[in-house]
Amino acid sequence: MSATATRWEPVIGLEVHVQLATRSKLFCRCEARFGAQPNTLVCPVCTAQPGTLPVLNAQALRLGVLAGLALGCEIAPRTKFDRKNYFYPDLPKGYQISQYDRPLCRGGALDFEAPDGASGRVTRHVRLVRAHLEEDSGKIVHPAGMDLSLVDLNRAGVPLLEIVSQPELRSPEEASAYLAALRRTLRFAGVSECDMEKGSFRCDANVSLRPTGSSTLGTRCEIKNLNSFRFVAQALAAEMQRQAAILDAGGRIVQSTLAFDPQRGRTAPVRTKEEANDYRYFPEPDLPEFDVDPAWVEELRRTLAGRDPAQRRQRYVALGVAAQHADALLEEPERAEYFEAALDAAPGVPAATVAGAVLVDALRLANERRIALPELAVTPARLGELLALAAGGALSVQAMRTVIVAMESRPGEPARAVAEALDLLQVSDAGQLERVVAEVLAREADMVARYRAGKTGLFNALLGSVMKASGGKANPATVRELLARTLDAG
Amino acid sequence: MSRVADIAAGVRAGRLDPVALAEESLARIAAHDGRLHCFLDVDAAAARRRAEEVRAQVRAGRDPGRLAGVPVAIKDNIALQGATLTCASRILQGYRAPYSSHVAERLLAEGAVPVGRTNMDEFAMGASTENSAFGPTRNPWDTARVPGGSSGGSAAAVAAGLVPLAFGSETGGSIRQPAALCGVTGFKPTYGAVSRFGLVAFGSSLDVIGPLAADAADAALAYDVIAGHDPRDATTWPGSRPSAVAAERRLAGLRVGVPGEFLDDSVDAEVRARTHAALELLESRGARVTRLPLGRLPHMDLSIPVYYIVASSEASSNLARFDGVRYGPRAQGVELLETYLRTRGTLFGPEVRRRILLGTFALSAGYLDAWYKKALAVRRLILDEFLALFREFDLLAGPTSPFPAFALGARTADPYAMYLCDLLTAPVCLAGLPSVSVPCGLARGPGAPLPVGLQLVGAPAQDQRVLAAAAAFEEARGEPERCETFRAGAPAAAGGAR
Repeated sequence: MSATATRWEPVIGLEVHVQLATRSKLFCRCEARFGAQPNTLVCPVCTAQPGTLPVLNAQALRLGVLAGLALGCEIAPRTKFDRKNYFYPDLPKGYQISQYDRPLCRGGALDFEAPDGASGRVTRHVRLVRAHLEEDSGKIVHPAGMDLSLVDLNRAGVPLLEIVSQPELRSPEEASAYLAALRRTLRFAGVSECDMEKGSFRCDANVSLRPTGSSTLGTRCEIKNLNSFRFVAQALAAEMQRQAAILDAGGRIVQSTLAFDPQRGRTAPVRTKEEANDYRYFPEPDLPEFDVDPAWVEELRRTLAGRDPAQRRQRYVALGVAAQHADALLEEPERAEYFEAALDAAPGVPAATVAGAVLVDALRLANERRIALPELAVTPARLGELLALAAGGALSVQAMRTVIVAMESRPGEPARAVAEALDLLQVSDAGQLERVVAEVLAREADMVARYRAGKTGLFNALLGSVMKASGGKANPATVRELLARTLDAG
Repeated sequence: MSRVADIAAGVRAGRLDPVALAEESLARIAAHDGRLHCFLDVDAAAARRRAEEVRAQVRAGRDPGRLAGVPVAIKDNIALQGATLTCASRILQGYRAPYSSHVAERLLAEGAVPVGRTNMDEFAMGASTENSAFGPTRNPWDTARVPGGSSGGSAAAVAAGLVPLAFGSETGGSIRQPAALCGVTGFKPTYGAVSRFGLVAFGSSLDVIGPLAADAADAALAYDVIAGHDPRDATTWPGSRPSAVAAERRLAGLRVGVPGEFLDDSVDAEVRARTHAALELLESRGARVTRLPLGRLPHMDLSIPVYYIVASSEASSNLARFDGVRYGPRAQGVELLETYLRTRGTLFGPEVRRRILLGTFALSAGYLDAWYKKALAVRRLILDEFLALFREFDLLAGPTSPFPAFALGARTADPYAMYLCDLLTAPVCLAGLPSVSVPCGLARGPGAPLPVGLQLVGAPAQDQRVLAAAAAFEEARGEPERCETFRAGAPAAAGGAR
């Protein structure tokens, strides 16, 4: 670490814009879909034709409340929208409908593990200031080689939740860990896909430096539009360096808005405070203030029960799943949900076994076919059935792996039927196996005599003979037990 | 033309031909609108097509609705799909609405035949229709005078008999004041009774659409058609509205308060005389009229400044969408900022620019508390003072406009003199109350006699009582003087429908 890096410590706060996973936009019925042809998901309302009015999308409000609850926020019993006025071609109305002084969600916090020092990890508790609903703007496209700009309003009016943290993050790595934890929490609450590539999870970072150990706050700068976790950490590190160099030289930080250039690894100012917009916020007269029914909020809170990734991790570990497997299952909500459904469908099968089957077999199957887990023909219920079959001794581990592949191409067929069709069912029936053991021992009388004379090492050879005689379908554990009993009895 | 209900009844019964009615209205417009300029656009072909549709409905045995075959004029700030929607502004020149307003949908659903788009002050900002970018409308009673505004085109079109029914919008007096100045009945519903969906926003917390008609019975029918909850306008209240047509018309026992603030010295002497006569007529029919001293509406004198801050603040934001990016003409600059400045600087008229600047200032950081927020606080006081009066009275009464129609150009040089036109109507708008203006006689002066309007104001959501009282007053008053200048020489009344 350089001297500079220890002389100053950063104070970092993040503002994250999350696109809520609604079907339609925040104030009209247009689809809120990514990737459509430009200006095909538009209507008179979201293109701001004269005379149009906004109507609040109830689903967006619901997801906003769910997000707030998942983050431990207090949900406002009464809230309203405000207009944020500024001119830009991607803002059709000339104002953005947002929430100013009465946000939907206040407070809350995020608990997560962050890197600490060279190799350690530390548990962090970062508080949130607020989260509020607002509409997205459109997009400006600059076609290469043309002296013009085009506006695409497909995104205009898409619902966003802006989540503002307290300036309590202490390093770029912590900022990254915060974002990962935030993303995971929101995805598990089912409120957003949080897909950075599709722009449904975007981050602005505020950073200032202060003398290490001090409790004052320095002048902060805001880095806009960081669109990957990696860039967030890189941009913060670069900005800290820029500010430290100024402070080291006795200079003064000018409050400004910056953009990060990932190619050059540098932040550069976009505008300073003197040029800042006066947004002329005032209450949106087209949308009256409204109450958020506390009973409805409690109902939503109940639907979240058990969905929180941290709680789930505890539960998995308590069931005997290895910690690293629990983390792997909790990388994606669909993975965790698949696991839990398979577990429910496999009574008596150890959770660790189910976890292994999901992480190894089901995931491999999905990856090979380039589809998502929920799209597998091997549904969690069928996987559970298969695992229960194996646990009952009817299938060897190798046979199980063969069956699962076959099941994928035989949708709907029960696991047992597939295993039978492949002739892979193990024989665990003691009566049937006793006959095979008796036959083999009769044939190998010589070996039996030597074993009984003390050559106990011959046990495995005898076991192999029995397995061979069964055509490989005998359950090895049952055979072992029977063989031992017969030999030692004789 | 006869009354709206008679026309609709005739068309429904097959006695009147909607196509002939449309032709009659179009012929009157063709004959007289060159002089009056009530209309910004008349789409004769669309009107004929629509009238034929209504005729086909009747012939097929279907009921076209309560406004069957009634030719209507619609202010050019209320969207009708395919029709112009210029708001009398060059910034929307050539723009046609890609969708219909709730009100237009309701009118079509009840069989109305839109014949044209009426002139107005640009974006409804004005009280004389002189702020139209396309030239003023003239008052049929005296074409050297203004028709009032901003719904001046709609008021003059009804007054001249070009259409039996028209629609306007009101933010500070824009229906009632031109109704008064043109001698017709104009009704401003309670804020939220009628959907604003498709009304180009001026002051969103004040804007209301309402009818202008020959009398209160016609206005009541029009109100019944357009009022109601609309899920596309979150400021309309849910549930149905009591019918104004069915409301009992009784003056006996009606408690009418006349606030001193409505009749002070700033009101023209002739206007005061006609108002007093109207109040006496109400009394003679059993109404209990109480003339109140000054002081019951102590904040009413702040109405004009409060109104201009609230409406202009909202307008400064509402009109931001007119940037030349997505629709309307664009005055292209080299850079984005220059394009904005040129488009908005040259295509908005001076009054619109003045109010955008005023509103932008009132909302600016550092001034918000002193202006916008303080104005909202006073607005609340004005509402509370009105509500206190409605604990004692069923209705309030007074003149609609402090003065009769004034000469074209008389007030254009001094914005504040023009703003005073709203003196008696703006406070009612700030409180969101239902109010009607009915003709109550003529002011006699050196020139042509000029209509005077009596306004009746009701408690929130008492629209049907206000209209019923107005109808009762009109029955007591008898047929008012009509402006006959533009009725002569028009084609004979529409014949039978066969």
